[in-house]
Amino acid sequence: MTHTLSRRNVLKGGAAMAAGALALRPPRAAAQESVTITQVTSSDQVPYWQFVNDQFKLEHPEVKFELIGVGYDQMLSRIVSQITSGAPLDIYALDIIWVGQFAGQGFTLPLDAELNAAERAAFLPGTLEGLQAGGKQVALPAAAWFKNLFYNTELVQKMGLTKPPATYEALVDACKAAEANKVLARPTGWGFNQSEGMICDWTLILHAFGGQWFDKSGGWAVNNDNGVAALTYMVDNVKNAVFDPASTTFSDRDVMNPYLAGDYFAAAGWGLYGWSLANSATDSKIVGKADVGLLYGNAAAGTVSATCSGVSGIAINKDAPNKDLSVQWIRSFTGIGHRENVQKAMDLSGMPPVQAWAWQDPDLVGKNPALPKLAEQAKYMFARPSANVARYTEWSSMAQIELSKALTGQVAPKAALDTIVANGNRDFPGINF
Amino acid sequence: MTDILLRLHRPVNRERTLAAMLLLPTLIIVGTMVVVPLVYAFWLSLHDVQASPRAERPFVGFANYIAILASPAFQHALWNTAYFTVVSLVVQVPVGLAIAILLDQKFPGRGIVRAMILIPWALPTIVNGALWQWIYNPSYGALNGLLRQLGLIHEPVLWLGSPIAAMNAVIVADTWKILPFYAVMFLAGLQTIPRELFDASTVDGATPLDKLRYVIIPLLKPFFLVVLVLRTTEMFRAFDLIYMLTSGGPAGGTTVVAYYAYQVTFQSLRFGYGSAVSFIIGAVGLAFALIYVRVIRAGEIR
Repeated sequence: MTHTLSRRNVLKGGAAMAAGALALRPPRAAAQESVTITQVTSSDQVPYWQFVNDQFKLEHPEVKFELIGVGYDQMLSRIVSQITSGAPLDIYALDIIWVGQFAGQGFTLPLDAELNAAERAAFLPGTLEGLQAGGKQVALPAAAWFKNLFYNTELVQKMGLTKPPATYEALVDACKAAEANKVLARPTGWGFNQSEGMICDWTLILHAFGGQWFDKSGGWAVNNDNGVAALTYMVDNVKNAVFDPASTTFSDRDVMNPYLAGDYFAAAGWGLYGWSLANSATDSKIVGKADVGLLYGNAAAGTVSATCSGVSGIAINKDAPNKDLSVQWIRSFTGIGHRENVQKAMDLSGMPPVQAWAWQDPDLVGKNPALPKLAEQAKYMFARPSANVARYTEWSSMAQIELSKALTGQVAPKAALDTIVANGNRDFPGINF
Repeated sequence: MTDILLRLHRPVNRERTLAAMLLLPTLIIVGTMVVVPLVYAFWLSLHDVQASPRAERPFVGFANYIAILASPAFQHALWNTAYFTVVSLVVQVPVGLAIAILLDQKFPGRGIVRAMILIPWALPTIVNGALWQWIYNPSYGALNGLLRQLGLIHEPVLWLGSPIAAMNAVIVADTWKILPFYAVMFLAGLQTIPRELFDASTVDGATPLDKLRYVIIPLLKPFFLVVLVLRTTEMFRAFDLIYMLTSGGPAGGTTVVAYYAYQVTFQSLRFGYGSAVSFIIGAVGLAFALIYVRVIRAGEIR
């Protein structure tokens, strides 16, 4: 019997082998097909999400994660290009200032149904609310950022005080006295350069002075008497060098440098980050002298304190390829009651807890003694108007320019605020009330 | 038929075919990487395109262009860009030429100096921005530190504290980085000038200033053209340095058109409007290039 290697025989053999391979293949249901969840976040949060994702994979071995970390400044364009180009994206970091914009563009999956009443109550007040637009939960809080007053205990004593001034009026008196007595050349400063940080500092001063973004009818109201008093205070005290005149060139991060160098007695900084900086041997000359207190109130307006929320959230893309898994993931990460997760978030990525209990938890406080003091400030949290403006970043750019004009003496505070209100009512009407 | 075959086999036609084949990969790459995105961006500029993939994208014709040209923010950015461009060129061209003339002279260590002068140019613009940010820092910056040590100032100067000061500070930072480019370009030009012309002018009793006016500048005109066209278009695209140093502030005083385009496109997510801004920037750059060409060629004819 002879075998010839004809084309027909080769094809026959190939078909037989293919049939055999199909027959030997395990049943489809038995094999777990892997799915990839794509997540975009800021670079500094990558270590924590890596930890969360590894935990999630223990229960869902079929899931793989593509975790993309980008610098904060590149995050908006990265997320938007990922969504608009149709590239896969399931989960992404959502900053409080994008809330209205993202909700308006339909980029987010509402998450209201994912939380029960007990879970809602467990969040630090102001964090969930900061990530809502039009009554919908656009994202869940991941890091409870808000500004605190950091002060130098030694310099406070040298200024003849026992604690930092409680009000903006007292702050001016204390600064003038410190300058006159040559205790400090520039006792304090602010992040008043043309940037989003300026809006944060304006937010906390505006609200301490009793100002508000909108009136009852939804019109812009930052130019009312309280608003004018707040901006006049900012302008006058920079112009008269009661506050460091360099404030107009400082971002909200830059302003921490003179404080860390021991040149300011106090500065407003972002919670846990500011605290870590002040106590870092490599970044700070005031290790052991740093303490944290309440940001100033305003005696005339009768306010105790005010801070600006910078809560960072985590959202699910409305067109996520793995929507169900992403929802399961977001529920698992929320981890209400997961002490280990909270500690990891702080240790790995410096993320302040979003759970109210965590700020008083004995174990966590044992490792992070500043938590209860930092948390005091959360009672006086105010958000920027990002949930109420469809194009917040554009509004913010406009407002930054007008505020900067006032702070550099080009226009009067009232005129700057009138322009912000006129432009706001014309181009950025309030929404989602 | 025979005629056609003969024509194809002619050396000229064979060369043309070969040239076309060699060019084809480049044309495909340029077509897909440049032409297609350009056409798409132009399409975007004629539509009201918001970020949402689900949103309607209505055709608005040239409404985006009209709105931009009427926008006070854009006009302000255009004015800032014009100031940035004109002042930079007025400073950078003569200084760059002076450095080139200096480097064209024979002196010990000329090769090392020529190599060292390239260092700022080799720095990425973003690094240059970070560097100058620290130099200009009012509290701990090198510039205020130096002036204080020299006893020239007692209070820190806010180099980025007012719109005009900040814009001039940006120009200085840009000049520091880009001067080597001018120097290299003009030095290349100087080396194309026959030495006999300098010798002859010396014999005729020309002073160094005469040589500059009657020999160097006229013969460097093609190099001026290249430098002016490249730099002007580059300045209309200036972004990194502004982003790092001032973020367009204070009071919008350093918001140039490229930064404005970034803000409306990637912060406000108005892609149609942002594309239109980019085309306007391109058109202005092209207009400047054409003007330079005309002016310099007119000079050559005379």
